[in-house]
Amino acid sequence: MQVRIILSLIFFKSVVGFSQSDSVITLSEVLIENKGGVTLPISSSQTSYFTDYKRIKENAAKNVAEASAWLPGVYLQDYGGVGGLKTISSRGLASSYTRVFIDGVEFQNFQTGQVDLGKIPISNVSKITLVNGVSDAELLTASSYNSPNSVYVETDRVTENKIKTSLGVGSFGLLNPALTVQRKIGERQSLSVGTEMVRATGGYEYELVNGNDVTKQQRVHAGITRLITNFKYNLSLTDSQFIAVGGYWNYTSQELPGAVILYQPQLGQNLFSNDIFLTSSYKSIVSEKWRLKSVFSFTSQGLVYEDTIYHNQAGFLKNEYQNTVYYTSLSSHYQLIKSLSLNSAIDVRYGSLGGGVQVSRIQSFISNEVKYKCRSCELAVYGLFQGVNDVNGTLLKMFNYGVSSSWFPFKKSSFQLHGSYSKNQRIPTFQELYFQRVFVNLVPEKSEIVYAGFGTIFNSKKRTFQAATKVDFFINQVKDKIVSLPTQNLFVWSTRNLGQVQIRGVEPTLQLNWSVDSNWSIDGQVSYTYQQVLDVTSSDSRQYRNQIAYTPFEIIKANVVVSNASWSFSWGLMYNGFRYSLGENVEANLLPSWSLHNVSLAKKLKVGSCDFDLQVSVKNMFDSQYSVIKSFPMPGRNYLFTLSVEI
Amino acid sequence: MKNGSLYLFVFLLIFSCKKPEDDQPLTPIIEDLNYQFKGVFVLSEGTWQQNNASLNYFDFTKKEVTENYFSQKTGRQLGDVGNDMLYVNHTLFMLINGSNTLEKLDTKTGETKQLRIVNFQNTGRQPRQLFLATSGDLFITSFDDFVSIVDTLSLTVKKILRVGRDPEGLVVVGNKLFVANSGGLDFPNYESTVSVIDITKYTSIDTLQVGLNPGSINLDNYGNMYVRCRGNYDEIKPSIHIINTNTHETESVWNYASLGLQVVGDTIFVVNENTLTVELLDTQTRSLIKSGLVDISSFQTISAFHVDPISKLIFIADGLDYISRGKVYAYDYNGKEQFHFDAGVIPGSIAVEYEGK
Repeated sequence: MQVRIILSLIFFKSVVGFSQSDSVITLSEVLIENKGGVTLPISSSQTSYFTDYKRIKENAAKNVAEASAWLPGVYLQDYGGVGGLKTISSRGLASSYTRVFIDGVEFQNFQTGQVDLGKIPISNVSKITLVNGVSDAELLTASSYNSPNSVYVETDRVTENKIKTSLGVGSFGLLNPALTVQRKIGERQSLSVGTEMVRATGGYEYELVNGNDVTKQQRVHAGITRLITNFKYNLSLTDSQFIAVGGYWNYTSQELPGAVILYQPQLGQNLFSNDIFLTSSYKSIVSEKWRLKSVFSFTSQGLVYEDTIYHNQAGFLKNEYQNTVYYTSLSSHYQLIKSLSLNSAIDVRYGSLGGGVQVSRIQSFISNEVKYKCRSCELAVYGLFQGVNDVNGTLLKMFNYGVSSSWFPFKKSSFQLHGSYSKNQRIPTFQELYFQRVFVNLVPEKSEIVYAGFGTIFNSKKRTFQAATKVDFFINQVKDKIVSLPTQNLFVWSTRNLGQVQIRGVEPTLQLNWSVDSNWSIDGQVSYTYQQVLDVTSSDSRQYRNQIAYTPFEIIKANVVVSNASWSFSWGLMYNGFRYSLGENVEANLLPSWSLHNVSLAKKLKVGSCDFDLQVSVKNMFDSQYSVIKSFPMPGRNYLFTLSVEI
Repeated sequence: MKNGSLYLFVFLLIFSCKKPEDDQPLTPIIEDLNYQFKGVFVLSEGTWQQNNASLNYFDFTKKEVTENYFSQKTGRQLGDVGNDMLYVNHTLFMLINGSNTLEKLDTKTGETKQLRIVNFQNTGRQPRQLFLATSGDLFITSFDDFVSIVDTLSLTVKKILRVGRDPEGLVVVGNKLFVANSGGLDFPNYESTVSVIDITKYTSIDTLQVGLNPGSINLDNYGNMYVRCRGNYDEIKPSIHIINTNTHETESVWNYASLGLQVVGDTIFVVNENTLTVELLDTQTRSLIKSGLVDISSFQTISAFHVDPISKLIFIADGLDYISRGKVYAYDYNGKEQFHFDAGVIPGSIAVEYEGK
């Protein structure tokens, strides 16, 4: 083992992480288990931030979207409420550039290309990692190389027999009971089964501004019922062969409160979704030099949208969509020599859409990556071949590549430099291609992504105080960008290859950990993102060199947690600078900046063999009135009480 | 959204066309001894769900645009998707589709009155187009298949009449109301009829067959109406049906793709979608008087076309990319540009303000 810099941050797992790794391969699972919150992921050429089970709890996050929102630089597009569509974007790139992986498998929606992170269950999540660039994790699927930003959601692994149950009660009629049973079956098997329900009336108050007139209004028709069941089964066939099977089922029935339209209450729209995600993997350590992993997954997303006050002949509108994706992947890691490894993967996925439009697509990826590691450096180069074949004849073949490196230039110093360059292409979604009245001949969006930065770690002599800082720069270019805007029907969008976007940004992050005494510790983190995301399509346009719609220039995230073994107090600040609701940067389109303060107090108690945990959270403490998407107001101050018991 | 489906077609034009030059040629506006021209009102639709319908006012003498004229006068916003507008005697009537309202604004006093266009369940009717009858009543089509008759003084609904599917354009001739039924919300199953209703007895008299997906209706001085049928934007092509409002007989059908039509005096002003020029035709001979009057090939999107009957000024709005604020251009009878100014997002309705002497 060579030097591995480890930063011990008890509260803050969404960490500025970098360390030097050696040629000894550590199974990623081993790291994940390290819930003491110490080990940073082996991270070199990319930047990754993560939040884990404990941190998610401290944030009182109720879904993957809310938990991810606290990661540095993340911009959560939120239509408000428990059921509102939630997607995330990072570093000026649209949300379709942030791919979502559940246990290493991409969660894909060929119809919209968007993944609603609000629908991904969180009760069994152990860790969420945002990676800017290609992940450093081993045995990646080939499609991972096509992802400029990735959110990796990792589910819990059973370590001991446990029953976890919790009850959350909160504002706007929120009721959230959950139960998870974890069992070790013999030495080699384990099973975890969980179920959860979320119910809310969602009728929060908001301020409606109409010219000089400001009134208090209430969201109506915003109820939601969500049922989630998840499971995970692990089997170690031998000491070198592992099987994992897992997945979830999410059924949601919700009323859509819709946009706030002046003078007109809008009622009558409902959404029913039925999502099934199943994944299985087989991993084999063939030899000391060679590891293999195969993955198979199945995703089914059923969606029924109904508008009961639609003025057509039938008197209502009902749209049904069935998205199905089969995915299979084989990846290999081969250690050629001590410092050189070869990572190869091949993925094939088949996606189909049933409903108003019937289309299907076969997509294949072949990736090869060569990684060189020395004592103080790392260099990786990859190439990715991608083929797309749609049933209607759309045929695309493309090759993309990337390079990344990191370097510790000074001996005995943790100062590190890192950078990466990649070329990516985003395939148009079914919606972009086939949902238009006029056939649109779209080409893939092309992007060039440059990330570069430096960082360092400071440790006090007695190691009671630690600080880590990292500054990242990003320069991205998007060409042939496909832009979608809603039409009369929120589910029908108009699309076109808008053109070019130029992105420049900087993202400094600072993390602190202070062990005040043997009992108390204070953790803190602050990150700032400045991003200029300009439309550079045409100098004739009124939008030329204007900031793209719904992209703040500035994002700030800050957290402080004061804790000891039984008490924990946390404060979080989220600030989003001003944005524009349309591409033209004029006052009429201006959406003001907003900031959000959340506080949370938790007390742990051990009674017999039971661990009790009571948490009180106040979200949006100062009752800030804001909206992320114009005409979709967000909730003001709200409360959440959660009692958890672990047996 | 007025002519919502038309927009999709015009999408094709967006990138193939260049924007007009940004010059300001300003020759004097046509002088008419009987009228004093004051300015132009432009109602812009705004983007769906953004509550940004807006009214701009262009002052002829100052050559200045007042943005958000309605908000400035009233202290409140127009709402979501401004679909149609009429101006008469210092009064503006504006139809706001998403907000389901009819707004009345006295441009002199700034006094305003709102009528919600909703059914008994408080559900919006989605109002589309306005017609002011000589009786002084306002007729409003709405997508719930009704026409509301509104008293303009009290701004109350006098009567609600059932018509065909998703009505758009309408005219009142004598005692008869003609309504174009588009069937647009049942896409691709469009309608192709014009309902004829007796407005003294409130009974249906006739249903006329026209082309697929009829939109606007215009009248000439000889009792004929011009129904612009938009087809299905695919194999069924647009047409203009000329119908005698007395006999209900179809006088002529033109296979003519148009982006806007208006009759002023004995002249039909029409935007030819194929040549992308404004053409003039004679209402009696129905022959071409002049083609290529105004070249609009440099426009990205024709979002409004209006010919002022008194000044004969031809207004054409460029909706640009439907996200940016659009522009309105005014041309004289000879096709010479007079002035242009900025509007809101998707300028859709234009009205000239003048005072009689």
